[in-house]
Amino acid sequence: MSNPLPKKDKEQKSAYSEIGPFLGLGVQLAVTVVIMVLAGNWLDEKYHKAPMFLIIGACVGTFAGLYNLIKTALEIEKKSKK
Amino acid sequence: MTRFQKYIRNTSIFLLLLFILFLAAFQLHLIPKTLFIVIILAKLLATLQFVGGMFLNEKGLKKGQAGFMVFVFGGMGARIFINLVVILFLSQILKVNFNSFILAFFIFYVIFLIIEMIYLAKYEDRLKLKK
Repeated sequence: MSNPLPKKDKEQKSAYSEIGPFLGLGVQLAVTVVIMVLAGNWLDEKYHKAPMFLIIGACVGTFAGLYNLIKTALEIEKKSKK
Repeated sequence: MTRFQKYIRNTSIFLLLLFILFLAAFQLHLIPKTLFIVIILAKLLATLQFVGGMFLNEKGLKKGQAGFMVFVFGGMGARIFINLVVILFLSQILKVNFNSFILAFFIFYVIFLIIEMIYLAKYEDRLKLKK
């Protein structure tokens, strides 16, 4: 036996479920950039090429993150238009 | 006081409490001085990007669905890039540990992102109104 949720709770739940992908996108972007930058820094320390790998890692991470962000944002927009 | 101003006030109280917590940890010798400096710098940077993001969100909400997408996602990308440049710059100038700095910033970034998204979720009806 399940009690139906009150209207306010239902609205709040729907709002959070709509915002969920946005939060995921932000975290995904940050994780991509941070991992690539840390990997770049690690390679710099290993091969003594500072700051070459760090810059490459930062650029690759930012562009990959932004590409993913724009792609997913466009998908979300398409879905919201339907 | 508008909802936006109330939200900024509540977030400021949260930030102050967080600062007191880290200061207490430093005074009690639970964290070393270098780590304390890194945490405070990361928190400051994350706060600045959060405030910038909130203003962009507010502008985006006034511009309707399409404007909202541009302001929120464009702002998100621009902010992370600017922050990265500032972190690289600061870690070179202040000679702080780069890995600790970037990880501390990442933690604060996620905390602020959650706060930002809760704000948007609470006032999601404003998004729908502008469609």
